[in-house]
Amino acid sequence: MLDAAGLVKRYPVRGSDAQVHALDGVSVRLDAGETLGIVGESGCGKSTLAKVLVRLVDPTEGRVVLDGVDLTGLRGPALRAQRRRIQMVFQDPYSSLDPRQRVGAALTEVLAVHRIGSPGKRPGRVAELLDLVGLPAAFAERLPHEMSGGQRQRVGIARALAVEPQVLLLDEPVSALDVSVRAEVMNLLVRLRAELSLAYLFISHDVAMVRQISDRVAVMYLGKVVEEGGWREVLDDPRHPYTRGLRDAVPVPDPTVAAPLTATVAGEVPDPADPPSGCPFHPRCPLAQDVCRSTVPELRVIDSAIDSAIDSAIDSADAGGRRAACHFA
Amino acid sequence: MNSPVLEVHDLAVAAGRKHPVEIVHGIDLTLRAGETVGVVGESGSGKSVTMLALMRLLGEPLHISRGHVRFRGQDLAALREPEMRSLRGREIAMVYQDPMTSLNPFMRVGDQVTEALLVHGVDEGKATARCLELFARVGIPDPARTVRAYPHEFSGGMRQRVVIAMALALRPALLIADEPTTALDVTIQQQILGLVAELQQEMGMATIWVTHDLGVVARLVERVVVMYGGHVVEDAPVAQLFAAPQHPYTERLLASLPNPTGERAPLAQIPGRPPLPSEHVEGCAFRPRCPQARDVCAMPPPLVDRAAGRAACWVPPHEWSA
Repeated sequence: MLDAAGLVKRYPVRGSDAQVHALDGVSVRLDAGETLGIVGESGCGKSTLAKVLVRLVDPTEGRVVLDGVDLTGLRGPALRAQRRRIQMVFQDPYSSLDPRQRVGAALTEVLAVHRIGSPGKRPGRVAELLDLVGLPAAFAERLPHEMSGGQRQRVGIARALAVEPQVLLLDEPVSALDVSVRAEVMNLLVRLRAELSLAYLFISHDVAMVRQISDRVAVMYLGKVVEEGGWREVLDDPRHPYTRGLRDAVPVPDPTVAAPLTATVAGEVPDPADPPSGCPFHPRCPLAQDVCRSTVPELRVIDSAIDSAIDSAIDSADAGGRRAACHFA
Repeated sequence: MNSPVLEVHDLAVAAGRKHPVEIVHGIDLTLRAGETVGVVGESGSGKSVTMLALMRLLGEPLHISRGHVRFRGQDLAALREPEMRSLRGREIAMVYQDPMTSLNPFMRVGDQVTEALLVHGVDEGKATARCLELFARVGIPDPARTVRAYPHEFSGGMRQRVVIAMALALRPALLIADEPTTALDVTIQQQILGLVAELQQEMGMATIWVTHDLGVVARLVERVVVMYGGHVVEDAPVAQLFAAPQHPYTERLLASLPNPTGERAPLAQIPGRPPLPSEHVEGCAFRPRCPQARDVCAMPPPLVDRAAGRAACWVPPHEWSA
């Protein structure tokens, strides 16, 4: 349904001829009702990807196609009509809500801007939307500061759902929430996905949350997808050394699990304005050989090691296979 | 058994003098020499305020309203500010979430570490060499060159390494680390956790690690203090805390985490939200959200011995309903 191919986004670096490759040839595909998790650390390009997909930012190269319509060339009303189908939910609902606007007014405004329903019917629709995200109708009278972080994020989700989209881009939707509140928002997202047949692009630095909700997972590093496939194959049996190192760097909330004593990914992310030659991960990679310093590995189809896991075999067949960008995957 | 480095007894913090509102309600905490304790809590649990209080760094309107803090047997409340200042940095060091809290943006990073050494009486000749040594020890590449950098030329992870170098320069007896890796990427967090664990072994300092991340706690500490609504609700050895939590909040919090491996299941939800610091809850602070709450919970539960630790709950685990 959503098909983005060859996305490149370069930003000029002030005071020099250099350019930052925020996205360096990223392709993603999202089928109806599917959840694709995008995981990576800061500077990997995952947030730029979200912005390009909703056309908050124009790509330098590449196309974004939604149900056969190329969004990249659209302007004005045609773009606005398509935008209804793909909505974004941000990390911090506080900063995306007007502090002086009551929840009901904020939701009504979205309906009015998109000319959804007659003015008389909008209060009823607002109540429906609040109910959908598990908030009582009385919340229409609340101001953002009168709600908890979890309640604000529910309002953020209700606002995205107001235009009845098919796709939600969720950019770190639970990262700013307290641990005890994350579960309810995650469970809400799972319920809404089933009830409304939504497709999600779930973007997060949090490997555990991506594992919890995704059908497929793409791992990004320095503006590229380095590995993708079914959630279980990618996160439980990673084939790219970065995916493995990233997963093993997450401290497990279980003291009986022996934690690695040495860092599983050494060093720091290189300057994206001056990326390494060859494989972007080679300076930090425990497996790096000469070929990794000279030749950029293509994102190519690799065999799945968990052949016995029927569900992931089906996942990867649907998704066009499991892929990794490593000479040794 | 070591003698305690730190003894905190009934420490309470209030906001405002005229009509004080208590936000931390009588904390007890003991730390032996070389021990690593995790203080876990969500926003508003009072964990950071408690740390500032025991360092005597609270700013108005916050103030200590009762209780006492003993550091190596010495009553910190009785110290005059200059004595306290000399203790901070030399014997008690602090590392915060944002390294820029501790760094001067206009000063070369090496000069900042050297200055910390000079202030506490290391001679000038030795300070520069010691600074280079420390940079190398905390894993900053090419110290001879990088000491001349300014903080903005460093990544978040490298800045935090500088702060750690500065904090440990004088071999403190106690390190208080308040979410020092929360703003860092997980691969950098892993490097920093490993570094601090190593340094702690080398130097034998006691460490309080304040965090909301139960993974960090499981990885790093021997004992965990769980805070909720300005109270300590559980204090237990790390293995017991995860295997057999003695407070329903701890139990629910652990259940709400996604499974890192194996099957996926819906996450356990804790209805409601943590109380705001200014909010007064009658009796147990967790009562409005607690699946085990009974009538008795309208009275404040004392922190009592439970298994190998302590918990502030009227209902012991064997009486919990499923």
